[in-house]
Amino acid sequence: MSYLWIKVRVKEKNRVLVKCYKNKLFIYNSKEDQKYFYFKIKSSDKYLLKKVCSCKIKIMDETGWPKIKKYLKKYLSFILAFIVGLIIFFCLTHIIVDVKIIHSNKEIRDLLTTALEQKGIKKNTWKKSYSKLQEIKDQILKLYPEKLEWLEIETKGMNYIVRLEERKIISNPKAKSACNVVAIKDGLIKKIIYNKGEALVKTNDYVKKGDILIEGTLKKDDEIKNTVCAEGKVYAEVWYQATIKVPITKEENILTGKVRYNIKIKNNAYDDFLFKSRLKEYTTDNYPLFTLFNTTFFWSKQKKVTKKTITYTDEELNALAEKLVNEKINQLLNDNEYIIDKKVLQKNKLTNSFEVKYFVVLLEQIGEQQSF
Amino acid sequence: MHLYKNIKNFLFDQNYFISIWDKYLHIYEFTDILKLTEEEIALQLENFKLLVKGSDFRILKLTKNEILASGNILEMRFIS
Repeated sequence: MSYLWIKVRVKEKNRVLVKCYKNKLFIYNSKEDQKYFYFKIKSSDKYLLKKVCSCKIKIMDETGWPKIKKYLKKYLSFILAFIVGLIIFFCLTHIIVDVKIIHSNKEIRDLLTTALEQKGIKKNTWKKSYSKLQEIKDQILKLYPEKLEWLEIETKGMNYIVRLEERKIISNPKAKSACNVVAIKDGLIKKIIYNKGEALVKTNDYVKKGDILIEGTLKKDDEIKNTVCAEGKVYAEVWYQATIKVPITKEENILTGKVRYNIKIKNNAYDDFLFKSRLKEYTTDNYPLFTLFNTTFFWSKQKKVTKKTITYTDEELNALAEKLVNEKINQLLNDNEYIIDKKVLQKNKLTNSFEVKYFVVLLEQIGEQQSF
Repeated sequence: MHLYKNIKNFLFDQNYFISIWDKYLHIYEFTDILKLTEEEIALQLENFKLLVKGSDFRILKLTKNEILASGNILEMRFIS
């Protein structure tokens, strides 16, 4: 039932009330201030009131459904935006945009991707309940008992993170019955450490690639007594030539002092600034603000820079080449291996680069087991 | 099914009903308003007319057969 609040002047109130009563127009509530008298009638009596009263009346307020309708009409855009916002929020919190399987073995990852897709766990689908995920997890574990030891599906924002443990069936590798340690490079023997077999070389012997260093055949008086798999490490001096090229010039960023601020959005699929930068060349400092649905928002400070080309001096070029060659060689070396000596063979200064040829002497392990 | 009517008949065994409080007046089953001002309310009931005198009368509720008014009630009597 909807009602209207009507306003009349205090002077006319009794006349209006009597007229209303005579015309079967009833008053359900009233209030009064110094100037006006307010009374409540049914909305359906509005036209009757206009006929009955010759005085000036004004509708002050409505109650019930018409009031709700009025509000709905007034705030339609806001209500629609709110509903759309709710729908978007619902979608964002209930949609899965990526399924990440964390495991190093590609074969296992592919296997699990297919299995999960069959169970409905894939990109751009609705999130599943915890119990449903547990059910799927159990089903997959039962499906591949020989390959999967443990599986966990974790919901993180809009992603599923799948962690698993591969079941490894350990089979005892067949021990090699007979093998030699053979040189894989030419070199001058410096150190031999062996615990099985018989060393055929000694320190300061020069060996070539393919030479047997530790023999697996145990002989006595030229008669083969036993065969073992020779084990040991043979360190030798090995020589290399290495060429290093370094650029003669380098570009350096010089800060101009001009700073602009921006917002950076970063997630799995997107990594860019929210607003277009007005600076042509700049360096950025990013400060994380917050993370929402696996998307991180950063406050970015963009500092304008100008590029300046700097030409290296000869000393700087030599130092840079030296540093580079050391870095490259050290990457190749294992434990107990090191650079014995290094000499510059040739230096060439080209138009844009500086080329240095090095002769490098390394101590390297050159023995490798080979069956016979 | 005349449940409502039966309850009403049981509770209101008179044809009319007049209640007076300190500052309120409630009359049930009147048939017409004869006079309505801030000082006087005259009502026609089934077998008699009722006059209520006072000051600052204000109608709070007015339906077909029921009136609720507030104000200072000084006098109430039947009139011919």
